[in-house]
Amino acid sequence: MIQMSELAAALPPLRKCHRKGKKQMIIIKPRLKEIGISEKPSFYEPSAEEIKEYEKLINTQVEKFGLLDPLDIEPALIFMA
Amino acid sequence: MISSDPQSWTIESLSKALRKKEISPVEVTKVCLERINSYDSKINAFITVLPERALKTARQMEKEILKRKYRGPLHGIPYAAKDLFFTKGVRTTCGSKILKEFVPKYDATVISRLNSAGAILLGKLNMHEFAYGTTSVNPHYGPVRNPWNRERITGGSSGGSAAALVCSFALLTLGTDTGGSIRIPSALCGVAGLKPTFGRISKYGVYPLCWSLDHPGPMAKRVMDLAIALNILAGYDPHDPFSAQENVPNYQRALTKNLKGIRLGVPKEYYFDHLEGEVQQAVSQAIQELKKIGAKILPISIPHLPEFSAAAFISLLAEGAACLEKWHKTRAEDLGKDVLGRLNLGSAIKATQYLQAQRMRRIAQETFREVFTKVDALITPQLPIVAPSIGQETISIGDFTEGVASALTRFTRIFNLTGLPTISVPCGFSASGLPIGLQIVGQAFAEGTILKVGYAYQMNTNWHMRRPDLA
Repeated sequence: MIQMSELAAALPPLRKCHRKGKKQMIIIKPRLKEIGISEKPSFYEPSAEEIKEYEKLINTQVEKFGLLDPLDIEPALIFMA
Repeated sequence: MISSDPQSWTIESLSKALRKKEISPVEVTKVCLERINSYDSKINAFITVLPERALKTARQMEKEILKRKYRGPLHGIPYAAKDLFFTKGVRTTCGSKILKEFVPKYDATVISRLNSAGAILLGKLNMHEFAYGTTSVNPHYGPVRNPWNRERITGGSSGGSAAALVCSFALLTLGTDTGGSIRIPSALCGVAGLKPTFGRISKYGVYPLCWSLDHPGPMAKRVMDLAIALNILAGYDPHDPFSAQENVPNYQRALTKNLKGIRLGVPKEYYFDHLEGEVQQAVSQAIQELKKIGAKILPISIPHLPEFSAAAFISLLAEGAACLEKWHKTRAEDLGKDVLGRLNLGSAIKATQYLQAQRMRRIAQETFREVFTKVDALITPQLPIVAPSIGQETISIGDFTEGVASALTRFTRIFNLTGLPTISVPCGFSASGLPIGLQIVGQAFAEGTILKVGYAYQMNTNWHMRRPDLA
């Protein structure tokens, strides 16, 4: 579980803002909301074992189309899909 | 004269009767509300019913007809919307506990269009939580029950939208389709459902699941009614960045009773693997019927279909996890177990895997572009199975066993990846009395062609006229 305070500490711009005082914190808070981070203190994360299981399941699907050769299609078209 | 049996009403027949003043919008709305009141406790199609608002609008529509102000074929027609279409002042739960009290401040574009056309909103329909599932077994509002057998699922995620039509609670419903969510319940409940081309119908005010895969669309008892609704719903919307600036033809005018000159492709691979016997038989008969009414049937080979299906699956999981990330991270305890599992799975997808899936999407689009130089439409089974039981987790067909969700999306999700238009029409019933669906796929923005095929098929068969006994 990541605490909100830990997250704030992990982000350099936030640490700077703490030092500069309250005024800039007011700017930061709405930015966090905009990117979907709630002010709730904890985040849900599946366990490491669960994530391994999920990765296994995903890989069985991804194996079906595998690694495409970069030259298979025009690279400029990739992001037009 | 309009029939006294509301089960036989269609938008086409009712709109003529309303215009001729054989019946009033208030009478029609009261009949629908009475049916909801009598039968929905058994089916659970609605999350919110709006009797006062519906009757108020109906009275307004009646006044206008009496003053000869006629808005068009949806004037006075009762409709209902899946509970993820924003409705100003009416709660929109998305089938979730998290948004139980969410009341939007504006109408989705499609809701505005239907209201302006004179249609009457009866309420908001039950669905799979956040549209992220194929059963409509909702942990917060209860399962939607299949009107043909209440122990079976309706399919999802637009389960309430299909059930409400079969029960004649409404004449038109709105659904959304991200991996099959309009077509699956349409097939399992025996109604007609249209997933239009990506960008054909506005997504403004529709709660998203996957930005590049979501398709809103109409559901109705008959294909003619889908055409009438699409005339109103289709068209460019500047509020939706994905909206297409494509010409909107008159879809009704394209409908004919025969299919002379139409080339229908039947895929040689993938779509006829692991099918229940009764489904195989019904679809084969439907293909023969289409041949009888003038279509040229062409077996066609389409490469890489399993790869396209896997790319659709990865895209859906990754985008779903991104779209619902906020709720996944902060309200996991309020999500249903199955939705939480899918979000966990989607979060474990790497950016490289998602991007390879998008490259596969491009190949899929090119492949189908090539296919549609040879045929005008494709015909496939809509689903490999009939409605499973509520709570059932796996399906066995011979030696082949798979999860219910996998079986229900195997034939549908490729067309979310490609964005191509498809409709589902009923094409038979199993010995146990459960509907079987036929999928008709067209090239981009060729909704007119697939509606024409579906309409001609319905004019020469009567599967769409069967109704369940609700007593």
